[in-house]
Amino acid sequence: MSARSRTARYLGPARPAAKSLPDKDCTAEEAVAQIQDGDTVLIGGTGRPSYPAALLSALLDSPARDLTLICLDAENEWVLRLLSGGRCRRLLTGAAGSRIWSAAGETQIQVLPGGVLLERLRAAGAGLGGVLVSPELAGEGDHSLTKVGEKEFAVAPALIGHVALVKAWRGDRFGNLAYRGSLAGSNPVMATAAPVVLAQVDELYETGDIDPAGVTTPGVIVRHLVREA
Amino acid sequence: MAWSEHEVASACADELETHDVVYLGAGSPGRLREHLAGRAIIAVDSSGLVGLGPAPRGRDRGLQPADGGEPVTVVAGGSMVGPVRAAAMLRRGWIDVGVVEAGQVDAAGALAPSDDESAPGHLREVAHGVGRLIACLPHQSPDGGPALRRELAPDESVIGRATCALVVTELGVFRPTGDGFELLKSAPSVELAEIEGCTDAPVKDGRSRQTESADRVPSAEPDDEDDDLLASAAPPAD
Repeated sequence: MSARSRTARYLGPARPAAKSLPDKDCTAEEAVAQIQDGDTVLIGGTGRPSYPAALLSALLDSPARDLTLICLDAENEWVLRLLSGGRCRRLLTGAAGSRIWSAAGETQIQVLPGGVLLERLRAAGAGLGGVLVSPELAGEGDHSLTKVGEKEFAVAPALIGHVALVKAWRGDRFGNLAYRGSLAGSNPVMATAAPVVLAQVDELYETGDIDPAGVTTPGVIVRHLVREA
Repeated sequence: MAWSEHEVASACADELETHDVVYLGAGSPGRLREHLAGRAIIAVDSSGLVGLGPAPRGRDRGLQPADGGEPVTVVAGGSMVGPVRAAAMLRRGWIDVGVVEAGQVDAAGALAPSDDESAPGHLREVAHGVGRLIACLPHQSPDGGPALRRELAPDESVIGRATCALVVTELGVFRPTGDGFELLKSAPSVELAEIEGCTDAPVKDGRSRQTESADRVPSAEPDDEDDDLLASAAPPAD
């Protein structure tokens, strides 16, 4: 199928083109080659259709190990297989059921409130040091406390990864990403919280053929783009 | 002969590299977007336009006004992510270069805002966020004194030492060296003596290692219609 847009141009007459912007389309194998042993990998998505399945399958087939995984919901086959394969050192997640715990082996699992996890990632993506949350939500360990007015808060430090695997609805060859439905959940947040962003898209367009106002993740921060297999 | 405002913008554009993501501050740096045509450079502004294009031509009305009320276009591959994400991109370190309007700079690369700067805090945000800062300013302050100085007093500068990598005025392109300025390029027929005369710091001639500015072809020569449009632009919004 041609990647040519089926949609009308969104902004009237021809745009002045930023010439020779890089084409970041590649295979899932080429994309996950960015992941090295010991990396912290952010996995976007909650619920099966919103996971970047092609990227996760390629990660399973890759040799990378000693990984730290961060995902909102660990209850999926890829995380399970990464754990049972002994590929992970640590898992930081908002939800982990019994299958995950039984597959853990040597992996250290930490379950945080999902909202706090996302806020800590969002803070990292915005270049902030962390967020202030209620001490009861901050999780295990020592947290420095601070008062805002009368209320006491714990400092939850920003969480940053090495590589983010995300799934988007539409993408263009430069890496601009638009989300819809459940894809718009944790994916756009994960896409800001790592220096290397690998995206899987349902629909790939030529650069300039998606609506600039509909773009949530700007292409400048995306490293590679993979089309849904 | 001193550079015009567009030639200053063109000189700034020449200092950018392919695939740079460049943040354009309020005021004169906005003119740079007229000089990036055909180059793989992504310009970002405070409103969150990523891939800022030149002013619209002909019947193309462009987008909602940005950059002090001027209509703008977005290049193919651009996006509109909004001011919150634009500021986040700055803090997160995703912007390679910043081009800002300044009032004065010193030999150590410290920078003071111009007198009519309405958002010195934003200037600080840009300076701290980008990898490389280019300051754009008139060679003489409105009061007639030199704008390139040996040392700014701490209470004058909003942005600390060694943050400003390049200074572009209507007379040339300069690099702060700590004890003075190195002249990298000069406007046509501007002599070193003339520059030294209106600079409050030693100026070293480093032009031999650069392309002669007289040979430089502006990357985009705006037509008359655009000049009118730019001339009638409103001052930067508060």
